[in-house]
Amino acid sequence: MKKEEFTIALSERDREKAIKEVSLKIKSAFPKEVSHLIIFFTPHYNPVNIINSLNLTLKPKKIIGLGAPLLIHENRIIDKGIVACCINKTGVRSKEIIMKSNEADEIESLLRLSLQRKPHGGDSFLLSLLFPHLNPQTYLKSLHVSLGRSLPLLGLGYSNQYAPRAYQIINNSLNETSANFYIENISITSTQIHGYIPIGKPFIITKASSERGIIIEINDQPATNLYKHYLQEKFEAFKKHHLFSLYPLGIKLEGTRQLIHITDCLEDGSLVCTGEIRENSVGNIMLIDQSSANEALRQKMLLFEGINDALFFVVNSLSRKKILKNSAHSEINLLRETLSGSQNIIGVFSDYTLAPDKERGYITMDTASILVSAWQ
Amino acid sequence: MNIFELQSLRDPVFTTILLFFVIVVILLIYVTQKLHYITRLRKNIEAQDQTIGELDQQAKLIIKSDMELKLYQQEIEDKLTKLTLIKELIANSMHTLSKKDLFAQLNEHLIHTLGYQKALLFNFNELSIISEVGCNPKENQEIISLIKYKKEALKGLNILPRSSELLGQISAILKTKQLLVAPIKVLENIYAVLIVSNPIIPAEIKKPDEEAFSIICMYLCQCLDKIRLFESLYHTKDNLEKKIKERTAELVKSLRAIEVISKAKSDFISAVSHELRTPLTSVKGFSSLLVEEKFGKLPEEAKKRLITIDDNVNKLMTIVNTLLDIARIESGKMEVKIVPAELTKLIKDVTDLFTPQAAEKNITISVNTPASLNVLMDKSLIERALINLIGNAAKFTPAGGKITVNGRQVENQAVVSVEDTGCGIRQEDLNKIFQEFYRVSNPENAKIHGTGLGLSLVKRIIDTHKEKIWVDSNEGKGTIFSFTLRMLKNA
Repeated sequence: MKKEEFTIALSERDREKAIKEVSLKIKSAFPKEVSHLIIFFTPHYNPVNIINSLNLTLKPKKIIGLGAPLLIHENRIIDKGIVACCINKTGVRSKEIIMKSNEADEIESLLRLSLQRKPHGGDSFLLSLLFPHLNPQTYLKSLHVSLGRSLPLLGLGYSNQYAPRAYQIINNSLNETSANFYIENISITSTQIHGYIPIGKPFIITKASSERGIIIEINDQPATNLYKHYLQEKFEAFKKHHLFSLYPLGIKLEGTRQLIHITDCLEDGSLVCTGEIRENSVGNIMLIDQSSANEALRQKMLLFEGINDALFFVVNSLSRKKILKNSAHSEINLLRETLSGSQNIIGVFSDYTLAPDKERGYITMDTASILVSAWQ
Repeated sequence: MNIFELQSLRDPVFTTILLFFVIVVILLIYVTQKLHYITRLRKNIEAQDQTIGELDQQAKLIIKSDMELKLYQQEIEDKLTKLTLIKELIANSMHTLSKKDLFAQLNEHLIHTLGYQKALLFNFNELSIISEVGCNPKENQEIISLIKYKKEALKGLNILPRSSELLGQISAILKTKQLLVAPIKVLENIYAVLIVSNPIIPAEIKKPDEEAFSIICMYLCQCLDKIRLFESLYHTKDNLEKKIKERTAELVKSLRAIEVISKAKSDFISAVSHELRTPLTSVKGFSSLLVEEKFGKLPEEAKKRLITIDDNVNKLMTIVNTLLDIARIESGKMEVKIVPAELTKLIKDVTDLFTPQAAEKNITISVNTPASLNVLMDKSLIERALINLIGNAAKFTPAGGKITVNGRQVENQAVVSVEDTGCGIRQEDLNKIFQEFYRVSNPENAKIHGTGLGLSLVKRIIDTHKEKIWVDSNEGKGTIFSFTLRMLKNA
């Protein structure tokens, strides 16, 4: 997208002042009309006030809004603020599909019916914003069945029990369930960056329930024994402080490593996780540090060489932020440095992301990576 | 090769046996090699297992130390954030002496930095909201209504424990288990209740969070206590100021009354003096003419009496003139010209006036001054003051005594003192001698004529110059009268 086709704005002021500032910035770039407005806001802001204020000042034709714990704007992580992106590219259209049910069949038929005459691929993609009521594995299965496995998709979701009140703004209303946005006339290029390195002996998931998102046994032993093996006397402190997210599992699937994020452990020694779990798959405990993360980022960002005038939409992982702490800021800074000045970055933090995996040829879920997408 | 050997080769049995042996040998070699290979592989596997085991051991160490590091890092970061916030709160409210300003600190910024989306602070007795961040009015009302009937549950606690039933009920209203509730106390009475809930970053409220919240609540309690003390002090000060104002008003009233009386007295004295002076001038004129026998020779006895009359008329004239001067000074009617003038010469001139009188009484009179003392003064008034002081000294110094007139510069002032070796003044009389008509009562004094107005006039003259006059005396040894005058700058 060229500069005359989109603009981004940020405000870190309090309440209504922030919404006004963002509106004014967008108005100054596009004084005549605003076609599509994508807005992300931290929990400090009231979504109803955002809708009212936007309708008074900008009157956009379409609003896609999302409340997120942390935002990204250019080279910064924003812990309080509003980030907005206005898209005025000719021919851009969007259609929202709200998913109230969490049943696979219903989601499948809803997607099929909503998008039956829409082209899949090319200059269109599906943006999925998923909330805790929906199991991402169920959604992925429904998606694969209804729309095929190679659909251009960008997805992000929240699964954590402590997730902030998840809100979406869809045009003039608030939505607290998951939703899809089918966006036409924008092409996307995306990649997932993790930078984790495997460590220790490989293990085999011997018993798991992918539907419930639980790994029951690893190497024919209760799954938590894997962490006990490495942490020994430190395991109790590890469990008490809910530190499983520090060391995700890297499962080998079709030649690549899929990250599985552990959210909790059960009394029987099972591990509750988000990610694609398969019995008999081999994996390792994964570790990340700033240097491995930066190296992976540099490698993966080569994909975007030659892409000019793009809007970069980044979805970073909350668990990654928890692990990298302050290094997460330098990672975003490095991301900004790899791009040219004409390219803008906006983004949010989420619990997991969904995106096509080119090596495996289908959409995968990731819990500890950065999803970088270039919108053109 | 012989024939036997050739025949044996042709023998199929022999050939079979030979082949069998060859195969066996080959097999043996093969098996031996394979066994050797397997042994080598085993060794390799064992070595690899050992390497993997070692790597796994290293992985254990790495993960354990990484976890410890991250835990410490997390703990330090958390503490640092909270400390910074508390420091900011203290810095902003340290000098706050109003409850409104104090609670204004519990704003959106503080609550969000503390890590919560919502906060509610309400007055415990009035059940009214003091401040709130991100709250729903309905939830607020429900919480206040709940606490209205559960006041006892908060008493005696610094923070509501996790097991508290009340906390559970508030948690149900706010639909979150992540909340903290604490009473804000002034002394032992609960003034307000503070509730924070809904952590911004998905996380469970932990011990350090509780501690930070608890510190903030304790700080608020301390601030409230400080405000209470200030308010009580302010009331006391207010009352005191009120009383001072009342007393000052009374004093001003009394002063005005005194001023009125004083003015009336001055006016009276002035009027009387004026009225007396005219006939006295006439009496003096005639008495002088009569004494000088301008109307003809008088009998000796008559002349003696007339001289007495003339002396008394002179005294009366002096009294009337002095009274008039005092009255003029008091009423501000006397024109005072304080200008630069030379003091040493004035002292010497006045002292010279008394030299014959002193010589007659056999009194030594000396002057001790620097060559020049340039001061600011009304020369004629200071001359009168010196005449009075030296005249008094001459009157009260017995024969053979000594009078010393000193003049010296002390910093930016000239100090003039008249020292005599007279009978001295009793300590109890010292503070009364400048009053009008006051005369020290002692046998020595009774012998000496005086009006009791001289020193009073001197004091008023010095007061008019806004300078000081004082007296030091040792009974039986002598008296020193001193006064100051302002030195001329650059003198």
